[in-house]
Amino acid sequence: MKKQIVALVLAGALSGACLSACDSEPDDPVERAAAIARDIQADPANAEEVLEDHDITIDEFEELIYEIAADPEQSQRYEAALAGED
Amino acid sequence: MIVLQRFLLCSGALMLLAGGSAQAQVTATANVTIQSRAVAAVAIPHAAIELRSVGVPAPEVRVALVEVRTARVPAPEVHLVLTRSVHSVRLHGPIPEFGGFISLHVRDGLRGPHLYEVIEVEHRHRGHMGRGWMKGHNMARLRVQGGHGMGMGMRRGMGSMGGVYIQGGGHPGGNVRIRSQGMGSMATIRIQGGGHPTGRVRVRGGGPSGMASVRIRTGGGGMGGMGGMGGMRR
Repeated sequence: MKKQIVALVLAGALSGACLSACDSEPDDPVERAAAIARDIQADPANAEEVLEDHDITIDEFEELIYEIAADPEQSQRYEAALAGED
Repeated sequence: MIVLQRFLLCSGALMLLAGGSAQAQVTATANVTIQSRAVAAVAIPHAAIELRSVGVPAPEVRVALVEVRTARVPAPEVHLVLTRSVHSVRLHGPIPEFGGFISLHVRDGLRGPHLYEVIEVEHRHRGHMGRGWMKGHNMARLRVQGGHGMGMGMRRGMGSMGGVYIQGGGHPGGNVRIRSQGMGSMATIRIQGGGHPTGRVRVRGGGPSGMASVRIRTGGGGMGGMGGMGGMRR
């Protein structure tokens, strides 16, 4: 019984930690890409660490960027978000 | 024996050092690669916006981007493809089926400077700078600008309104024709140039009355004529 309670408490703590980490990333792909891009621009020498901090691989980031670039409306929103107009 | 041991130790140490150095180099290269990919990727949407703004249709830009993504072309190279294309379009005008053209060469394995060169050459040969068609009840403005500006603007339709400007630093020249079967067509045409502007403007219509005025302004030794006629045929 004790083991079950400990397991439940641990699971709860872990899921809580995950949720708080996930909350920091915007849901909107354009906003997320702009947030990552802003951090890369702020510290280009550590772009790899920036990607790690945002829990995204370079391939996934490129994929996200290509999707945005291919869409005129998303591109404009990305530009605006990158410039801090949002 | 001692000499041999020392030699082995030294060579082992050298091998370790060389191995460590090689590993460090690989790691550094990998870091630079990811860094350069990330930094270049950030700028790709802006390059795509510029490409669309110079006249490449959005679906063509999409086709090109889908192709480079499928072919896993690295972001720095994709960024250069887009910026070189923007430059070529600005110089020579857009080419038809830009996306298909990029796809074809990327599929053929063309990369780097060879790809940029092909883009430039293709735009130089097939770019259609200075020709624009506007049909329908639109309101449009076409600008043809350049150091040696040359262009032709044609506008067709009923009730259309538009402006065509041909501007050049040296010897701008161009022909602009405005035709209409009905009434109410209106247009502004300006041919401006610092040195020797030349141009021809024709206004034709099937309606009962017509009016045309042409003004040619030059700073230097300009030549021009002005006239107006009304009637069934002009």
